[in-house]
Amino acid sequence: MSRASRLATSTTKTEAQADRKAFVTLRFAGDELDPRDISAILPVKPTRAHKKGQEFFAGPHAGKMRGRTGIWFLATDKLVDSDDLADHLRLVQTLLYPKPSDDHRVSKLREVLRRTHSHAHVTCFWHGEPGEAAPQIPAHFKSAIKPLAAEIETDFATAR
Amino acid sequence: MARSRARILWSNPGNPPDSVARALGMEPRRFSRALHKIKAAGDLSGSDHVIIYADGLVTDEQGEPLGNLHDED
Repeated sequence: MSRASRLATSTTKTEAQADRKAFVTLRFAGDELDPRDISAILPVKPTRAHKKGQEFFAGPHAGKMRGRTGIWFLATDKLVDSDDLADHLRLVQTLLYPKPSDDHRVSKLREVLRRTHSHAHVTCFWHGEPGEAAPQIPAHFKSAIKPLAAEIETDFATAR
Repeated sequence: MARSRARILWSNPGNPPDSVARALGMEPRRFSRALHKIKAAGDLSGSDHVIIYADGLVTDEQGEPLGNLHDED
């Protein structure tokens, strides 16, 4: 079982998780993207996945919606039992590289992105306590996602 | 899903102030986390313009629904 799968099955929802102050999202998006192509590569159930125009259930309040574009979207907050952003980044890196020298998943992802004219994005959420120092994105993580040409967006803040 | 008939709480780019979270009855961090996820899942960046309604619905600036803040977590 992969590390991602172990993490996905070994955590339970707690109040602490509901108030998670750090998490990471990974998404692949494009009008021609079929998220099943991504799921065939990455061994984790996405938080949301749909093709452009496909109807999906977005929640009891939102109800059914239609995909604005094709997307495979993963949020790590239900998978990693930690408030440390580095732990969430590590999950994403391990998903992409099951072993440090094994880049076969990234190669396959690049091919899907190229064929479907899609793009990759990583976002980092961290909302800390007053006076707490914001985390850094490690250089090894930036290097790891460089082959995907993924942008990294940060949403860092401290409580007022 | 039909467009919300609830009143608009926020219609701007970027991160809303805590007053929007309070108007929805949400703790600010929980609200920020939910909005971050809704925007990312909608393939939008944090700086993109969204509209937030009093019933928790979030749409893009064209009014296309992205999700509901009360569904997150």
